[in-house]
Amino acid sequence: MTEIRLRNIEKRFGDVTVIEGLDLTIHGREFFTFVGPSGCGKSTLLNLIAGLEDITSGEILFDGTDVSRLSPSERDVAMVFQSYALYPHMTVFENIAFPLRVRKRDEDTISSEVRRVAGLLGLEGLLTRLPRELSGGQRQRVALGRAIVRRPRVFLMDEPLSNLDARLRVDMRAELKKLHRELGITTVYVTHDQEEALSLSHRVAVLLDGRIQQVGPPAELFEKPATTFVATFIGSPSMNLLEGSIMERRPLRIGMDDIVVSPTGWDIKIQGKVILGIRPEDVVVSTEPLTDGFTAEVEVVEPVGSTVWVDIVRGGMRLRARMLKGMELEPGAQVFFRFDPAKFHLFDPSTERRL
Amino acid sequence: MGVVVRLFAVALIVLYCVGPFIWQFITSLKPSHELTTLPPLLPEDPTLENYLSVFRTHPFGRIILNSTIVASLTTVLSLAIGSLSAYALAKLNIRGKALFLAFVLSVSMFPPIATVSPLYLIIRLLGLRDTWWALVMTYTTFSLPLTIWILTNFFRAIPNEIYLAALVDGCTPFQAFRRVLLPLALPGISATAILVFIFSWNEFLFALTFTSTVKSRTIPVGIALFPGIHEIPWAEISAASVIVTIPIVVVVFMFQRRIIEGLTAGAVKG
Ligand SMILES: Nc1ncnc2c1ncn2[C@@H]1O[C@H](COP(=O)(O)OP(=O)(O)OP(=O)(O)O)[C@@H](O)[C@H]1O
Ligand SMILES: [Mg+2]
Repeated sequence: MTEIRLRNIEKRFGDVTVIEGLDLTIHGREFFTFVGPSGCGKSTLLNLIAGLEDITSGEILFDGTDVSRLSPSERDVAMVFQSYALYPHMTVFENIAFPLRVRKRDEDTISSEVRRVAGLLGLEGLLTRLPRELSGGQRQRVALGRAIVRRPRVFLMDEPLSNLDARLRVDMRAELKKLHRELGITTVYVTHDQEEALSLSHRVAVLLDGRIQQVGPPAELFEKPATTFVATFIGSPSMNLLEGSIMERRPLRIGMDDIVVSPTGWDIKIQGKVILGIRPEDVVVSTEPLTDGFTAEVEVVEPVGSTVWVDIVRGGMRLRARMLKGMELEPGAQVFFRFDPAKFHLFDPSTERRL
Repeated sequence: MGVVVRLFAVALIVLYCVGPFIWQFITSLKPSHELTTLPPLLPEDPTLENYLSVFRTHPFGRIILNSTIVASLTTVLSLAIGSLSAYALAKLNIRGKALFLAFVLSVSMFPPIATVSPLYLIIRLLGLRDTWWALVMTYTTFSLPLTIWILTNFFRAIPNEIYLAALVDGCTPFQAFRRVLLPLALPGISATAILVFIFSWNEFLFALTFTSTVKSRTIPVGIALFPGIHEIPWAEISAASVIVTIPIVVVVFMFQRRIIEGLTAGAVKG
């Protein structure tokens, strides 16, 4: 139930500022995710919340109490590390029991708690094994078990699924979600995989170079990206960004190369250049002429099962689009494409922020 | 052909290492009239007389006891102090770690002979002359730099996340050391234990200077004092040397099992 407040957090290593002026509230019971590219400061942020690193300035509050100077155990957090960090010399049982042993629980409680957690995670048959005798997925579950065995105030998870294969990752996602629902413990999750972030979380914060670009529910990040970075980072394949210049504001008409588009639903104040974003699924390609369509040449065809993505070029313009069902295309072919005018995102080229 | 050459080379090396020891063993079994004649190479009339006389004509039992206690105490002290320092240097946030390590190393650079006199004065001042403690303290001082260096590297090799996990799981830094890092560093600790034990077992210079009676005299000095005025009892010296090598072999084998066990256990990074 613990609410976490980060107040103007800053973290420097020597001269390098890794986290800069970060303000954020993570609600009680929330599943909150930090997502961002490698090196943006995700692990550092998690270590700060855990108390494994000292903040340079700012405050961390749990339910309104300042915990900035407390040790990890005083903060009562549990953490799952990217490398699992199981204790190699202890059996699965002892690994899961460890937090209870340190807290001097009696033997009966330890035994029953460990068995309960093992049951929850499907580890009953593995309790006497050593970590080196486990598969990646099993180790992952032991690491999780060690974290949930003692009902901490906060769960911290640093890319816990990144070492698993794709299939297992999707399975574990579902299990994490179920676990969170059952335990109801505030969870801060870190990943560089936007899909994982969107599918798991109540809210997501996109980090870049130690600064929050945008915070919000997954749908909001997807539908209303606040910056060009969020626009291209969230969603797969990533959003097309095109340069255009405003020709007329009411009704809106924007010229790109030799074509003109009319995005709907925008009321903009600026003049001159603008960045247009449009997701590949909102650009349709066809071999037949389309109303309001333009011609282009096919460069790459990339079938991914349910859809076929096509990279097309027209003059200096290059974008990814979705192909209509039931067509055969070869690179070099002439095609027609069309934008969904309601699906444009417009950004200011100078600030790269949404208009 | 290549195999033959290699076997020959191995045999040569083994002979080089074990040869003197075998020679000593053979000598120790010879009655005194065969000692200085060759042939026979092997004793024609092997005897255990030399072994018995080591204990009968010298207080060798007491000397072995002195050495055992001094070497064991030194090993325990060095490892206790060394592993704690190494843990702190490897895992805790302390300023000036590199400087401290350099300082520790520089301590070990002093040639022992240069420190004998000042140390002797200190030990006399402390009233520790001719006691076990004089040697234990000196040996610990001289073995600590190596101990700290080796163990610091072992602790560094343990992934940091394992240490952090212990903290998050509720350990104080000392609990993290005792319950998690120490067991994982066991191979390094065993290897260091062997080195320190052998060093203390063999040390001669300080032992000669700081001890004066059989109360605290250790083996190397004890054996060196075997020769009488008129003769050098080679056979007894050989017998004594064989006897005192055995504990070393035992210690090495005891810890070697540990080293191998430890290496496989530590190989997994979780
Ligand atoms: N102890 C340290 N000293 C100096 N710089 C550090 C230290 N720890 C992290 N950094 C720097 O801080 C930045 C953020 O590191 P961090 O580990 O938080 O990234 P991350 O977002 O978790 O990346 P990844 O996805 O690769 O795990 C990096 O540029 C890194 O080089
Ligand atoms: Mg990281």
